[in-house]
Amino acid sequence: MLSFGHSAIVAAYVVVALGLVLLCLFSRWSWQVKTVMLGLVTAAYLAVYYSVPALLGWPTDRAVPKRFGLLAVFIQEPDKRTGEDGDVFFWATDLDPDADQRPRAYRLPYTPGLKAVMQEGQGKLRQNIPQIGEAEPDDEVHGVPSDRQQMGQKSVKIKLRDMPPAGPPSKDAGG
Amino acid sequence: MTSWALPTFLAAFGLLVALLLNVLLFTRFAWWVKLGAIAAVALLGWTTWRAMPGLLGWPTHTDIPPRFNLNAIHVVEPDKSGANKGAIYLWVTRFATSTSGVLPRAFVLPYSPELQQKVVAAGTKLRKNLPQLGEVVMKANSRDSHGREQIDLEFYDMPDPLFPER
Repeated sequence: MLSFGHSAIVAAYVVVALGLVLLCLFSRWSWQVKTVMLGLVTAAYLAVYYSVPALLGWPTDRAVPKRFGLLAVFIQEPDKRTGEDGDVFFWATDLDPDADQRPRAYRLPYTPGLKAVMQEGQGKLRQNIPQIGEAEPDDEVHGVPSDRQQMGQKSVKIKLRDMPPAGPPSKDAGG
Repeated sequence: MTSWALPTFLAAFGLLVALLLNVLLFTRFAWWVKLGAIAAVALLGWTTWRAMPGLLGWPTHTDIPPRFNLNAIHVVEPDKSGANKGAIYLWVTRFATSTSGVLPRAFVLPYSPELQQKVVAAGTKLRKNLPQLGEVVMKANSRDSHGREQIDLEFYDMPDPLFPER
């Protein structure tokens, strides 16, 4: 599926390619220079084409949906030996009917509170009780981020509740 | 995250910046042409930077590890109209005896009733706290509509000691 991310990158590359075509057509560079320029841009295109799929599938730390159907939880606790802060990963579908219905993986910084909420949700999922999650901006200050990568990450508060019984049975199977 | 992907991406952008410098320093183009070139490359950099987070988190159809720990499944069956061809989503971590330092990754596979049966059976065992090891099996002489080799999966129960509690 062509998402905003894909189409934006494709559009940006079209702009650069257009610029290169204009340069090749209207400049007085020798053919060797033009060939090198075409080679460079083609190499850049190929590099992006092959590196983008390798970036897919990994969890994102942005844009947790306001309401989501929780599919699974994966918790990495802080490790004192390695100094890792720990993460709470979860896999969810956006319940907004206009949103992309594919499941998406999210990553939030580990906190004991979030771990407790998510573990409870995971336990209920294992009992076949579907869970609805709600994300709200967390205004509480949790201290200075220890990792510069967390600087742009907004803290969110996650609440989980049991999904009310639906009318017709869903075709989707969750694990 | 695949370690070579981000450096490759940055190298590609570096190539374009080198191209831009070439245009700026070694040509006699009018100033507005050079300004346009700067704007085009800046637009590319900005768009890529903004677009990347939108790409993360979604399942990928490539590079499923040959052996993996299954974390979760999500099956979407095809509808009768044929508009939705169905899909099988897996959330997995590469095969490891400890969860330290491993990141879960989401994959999507084309729907097939046989694969659904296997995946749902593995999902049921996961819910019963029986960890599942997945293994990729290549299907002989079978390619999908994109020319990719089609794969099959086998799941095995993992012995509990492979997942020690911290």
